[in-house]
Amino acid sequence: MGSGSFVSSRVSGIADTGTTLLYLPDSVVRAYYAQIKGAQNSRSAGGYVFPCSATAPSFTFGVGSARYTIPGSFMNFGEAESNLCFGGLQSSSDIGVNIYGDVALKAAFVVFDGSSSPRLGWASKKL
Amino acid sequence: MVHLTNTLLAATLAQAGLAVALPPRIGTVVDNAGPGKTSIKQVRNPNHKFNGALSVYKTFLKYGRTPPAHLEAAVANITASNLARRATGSVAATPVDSNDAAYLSPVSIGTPAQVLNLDFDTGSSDLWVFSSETPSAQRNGQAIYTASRSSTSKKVSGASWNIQYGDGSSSSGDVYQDKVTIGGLTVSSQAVEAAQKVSASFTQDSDTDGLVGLAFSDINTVSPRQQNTFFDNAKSSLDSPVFTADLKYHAGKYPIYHLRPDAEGRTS
Repeated sequence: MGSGSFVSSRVSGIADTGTTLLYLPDSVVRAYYAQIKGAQNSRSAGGYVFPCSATAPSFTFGVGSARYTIPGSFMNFGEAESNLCFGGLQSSSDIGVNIYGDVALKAAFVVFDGSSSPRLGWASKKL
Repeated sequence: MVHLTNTLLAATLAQAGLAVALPPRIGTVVDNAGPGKTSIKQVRNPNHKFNGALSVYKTFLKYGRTPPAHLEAAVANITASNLARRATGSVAATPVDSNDAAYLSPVSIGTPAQVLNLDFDTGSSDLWVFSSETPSAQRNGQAIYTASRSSTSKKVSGASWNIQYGDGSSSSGDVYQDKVTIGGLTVSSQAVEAAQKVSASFTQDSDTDGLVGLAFSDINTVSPRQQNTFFDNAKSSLDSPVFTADLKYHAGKYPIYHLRPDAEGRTS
């Protein structure tokens, strides 16, 4: 996150263009929002929010040895309640599956190989 | 325009020349990249007001989980206050307002072409649309598909589809084969699932006329015979059975590339 070091832990999930946000395990999500002063998990807003005036750090995920960085600006989904903005990264723990929704897909060029051995390819691009 | 070689790249791929300006409003013409390949520009929905609680709520439903009670309460509260603030725009009949559909792409169905703005979804496998068979009480300004106005439509006798969500809301209807064109890529006989019933959240989303499912065809909900997705049907006309998603912050594009050499043997 931001300029911190990359911590490797396997997180498999679904690449879903039809889901807006990025859903990852609680532990990852809490560590991310701990970087933003005033961020909290808001029950009334329905998820993690952070002060709209804050600069959200970037979030980098890896596919194999490649790295894709979601700029902090992609993580801000606008005001949810009184100067708190809704976060683009939310917890998947209750959903039961991690989801690489639009927030993550926007940070890469993604190739869906529908051949008899289906593959998913990720490439970096100028954002 | 990005050019792919025959080797799928999982490493760095430079992308030059793509417009990063704000995309056109819904209704503007789609980008045709040339014979055998197609490129679909997504369009920005200017009416979109993101509702975080609703977005998370719908993700629970999509993946078959019951949303926690506090999340339902958050959705109801926020949606109600959003409606109160809205001075113009469509009038919602029920409190659940699905306004997290931020990116839509125009798709042509039938002959002459009926153009609908559909949500491209790699998480599902049904191409379904609002139709002339959707009761008017369940419609709220969406463009509809009218099979009887298409000379190339054929009803799939006895077929039906039904997508169910965890809270019991659903969309369902009957099935037609018709010509579907996305960008310059045409499938002459694609299963087009016409809605005869849609849930409130779809009704409220006035700008989304339906979905194009791009996941594996084995989760298509048509019965008794499952149908192929647009991509599965289009594959044989593509040199490489590949589509790409190049979503941009405040813009978006689903290009589908061909890798077939042209008459002179050049690959592009």
